[in-house]
Amino acid sequence: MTPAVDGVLATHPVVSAIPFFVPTFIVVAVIAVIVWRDRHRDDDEPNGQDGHAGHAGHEEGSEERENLHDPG
Amino acid sequence: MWYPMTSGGREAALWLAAQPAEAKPAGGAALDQIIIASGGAGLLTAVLLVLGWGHRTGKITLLGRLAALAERGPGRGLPGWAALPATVSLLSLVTALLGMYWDISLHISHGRDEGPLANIAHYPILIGLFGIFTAGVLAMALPKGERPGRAAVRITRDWYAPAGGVLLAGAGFYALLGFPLDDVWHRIFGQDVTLWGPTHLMLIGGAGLSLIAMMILEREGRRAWTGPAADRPAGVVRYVRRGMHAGGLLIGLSVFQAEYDFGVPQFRLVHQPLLIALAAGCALVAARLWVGRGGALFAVAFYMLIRGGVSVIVGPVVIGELWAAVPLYFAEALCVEIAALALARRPLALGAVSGVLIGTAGFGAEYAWTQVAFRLPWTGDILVEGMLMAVAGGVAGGLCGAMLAEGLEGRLPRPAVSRTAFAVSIAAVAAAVANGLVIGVPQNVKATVALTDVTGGAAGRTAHARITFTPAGALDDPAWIAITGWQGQGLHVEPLIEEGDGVYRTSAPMPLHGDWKTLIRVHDGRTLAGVPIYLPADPAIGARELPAPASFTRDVQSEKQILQRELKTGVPGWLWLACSSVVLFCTLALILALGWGTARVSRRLPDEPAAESAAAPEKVTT
Repeated sequence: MTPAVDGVLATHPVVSAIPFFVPTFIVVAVIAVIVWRDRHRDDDEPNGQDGHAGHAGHEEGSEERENLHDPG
Repeated sequence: MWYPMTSGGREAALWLAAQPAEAKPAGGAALDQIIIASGGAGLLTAVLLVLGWGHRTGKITLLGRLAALAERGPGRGLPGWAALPATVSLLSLVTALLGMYWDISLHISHGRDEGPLANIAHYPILIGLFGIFTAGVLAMALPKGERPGRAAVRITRDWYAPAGGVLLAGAGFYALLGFPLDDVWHRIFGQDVTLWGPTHLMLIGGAGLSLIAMMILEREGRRAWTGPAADRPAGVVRYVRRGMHAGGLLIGLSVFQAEYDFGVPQFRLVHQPLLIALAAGCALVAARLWVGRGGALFAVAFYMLIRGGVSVIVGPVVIGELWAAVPLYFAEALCVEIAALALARRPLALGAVSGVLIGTAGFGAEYAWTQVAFRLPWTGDILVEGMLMAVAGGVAGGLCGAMLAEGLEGRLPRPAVSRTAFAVSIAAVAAAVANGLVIGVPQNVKATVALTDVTGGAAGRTAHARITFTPAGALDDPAWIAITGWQGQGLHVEPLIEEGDGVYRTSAPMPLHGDWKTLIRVHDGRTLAGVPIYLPADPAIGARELPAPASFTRDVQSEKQILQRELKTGVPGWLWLACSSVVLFCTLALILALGWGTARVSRRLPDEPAAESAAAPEKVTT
């Protein structure tokens, strides 16, 4: 058995893996932006035009967040 | 959704396959290959985003029509947001499974590849894993103007997604995350030519565990369905659909055994009964409780159809690669069915008792089955420890399977019980796996090899061998001792025949030419050792040829250094620990998320007969 020479790798550049993961990251990023914009809208327009809807949504959201922390 | 990529990927793969073979370089994949694959993946992403946006804004109705079609077809009794993703993920999982076994077979017979695009089998894996992710995103995007059941997760103020859809997308994302991490891993540590590399486990684990997300989605969909009573599917439809899910889970949990299936395990043999019992305990107990009487047997039949079909397609007859043996599992299914006759109404007890039966009677049946079906059959060396490992895996899996089924039916035990059982099960499996990973290499043991050529010439040399280990008593009734030759356009695994104390001979001539890497392998208790016989030169990793003269004496050494020549030496241990911790964290996050999802549907969709008829979807105020 011959020891491997330092600095020579049987590997490949990260760029060649791009088609394997970047599409997924793009979709996740788009969803993250949608969620961020929605939350941002919550902060900016607590009594906006759709105040009733916002109120209902906020209640649900609070419930969701609470349950996320209490999976039991 | 992924048909454009399927077509593009196939064209690209065929184009790749048509290219002349070259020496395996140390560099990367060609830029044009990357452009082709990136273009296909980009197109797929754009189609998914445009259809999702169009559906939610009402400007494109294709997704809605496809969902309606799925509702009337295989997804009867489920709303479109559960029916369409179920179909997409089923097809994707089968595609990924085929690609996985094909890929492993290629790596065993041909060695490493130049990059993620240089191997034709990587395309079905990519398509399949992205399909799983896509199915999850579809389940999230499809419900519009309604809350898809009480277990749904709020995305925005007017967008709720089924928990199963979020988890399905998460499992697909976790699996695909394995690709870049795998590349980083190779860069740091060199290529790890084993299935059980941490990032490889992410790729297959994400796909395997996505079945739990699919089960959760099925439960949510069924409870949210509001179609007319006349359209309610017959019980047999639900039975078959759930049985397929449970069989899929059995396949998913069994993929970790693939090295054993092919006959090139790089880990102790006692891991195999552990993994078989764990998969059987979890999937078959869940099948019996969730599907109904005979559900465990149905799940195994589905397993045999799909997993056996993959072996046939990948194997010598169709694609022409290696045959992957299949565990039997029918004995384990019978154990569960028999235990359920008395314990069907006591799920946790059923899980524990089934686990013990699987670990004992099931172990015995698999022991016999390996004698005829596997390249490296089980032997007396693993009898006691293997059975203990199987009992640990069976009970842990049985408890998890029972809680999964009960959670899906809205009857999860109270948190103190379920969380404790879940944590103890994970800890037991972790301890059993860790036990199997404690290995050693014998010191001051040598092997003298006398070769007798059968066919000559540098291009096709094969030979028989007579091997004498010194000291003679160094090997004590090994679990297995065999000649393994691989990566030379094929696989050669032949157990050695014992002639006397420490003296063995081959039963078939071994390949000693070209790209073959041929060695003696010894697994004896915790000893994992090897003796190289012939290794080709490998300039990309700076390795010289190790010739096989007619007679030689070499040290018995670590087989990992022979089997995984590509691994870099001198990487600090803390770096390996840190990188492994990142992968472990991602894995625990996925497992805990699936546990959270199961608990959520159990709590939000309790087992109330009245709830079935009153499950009208809540309108979301917009």
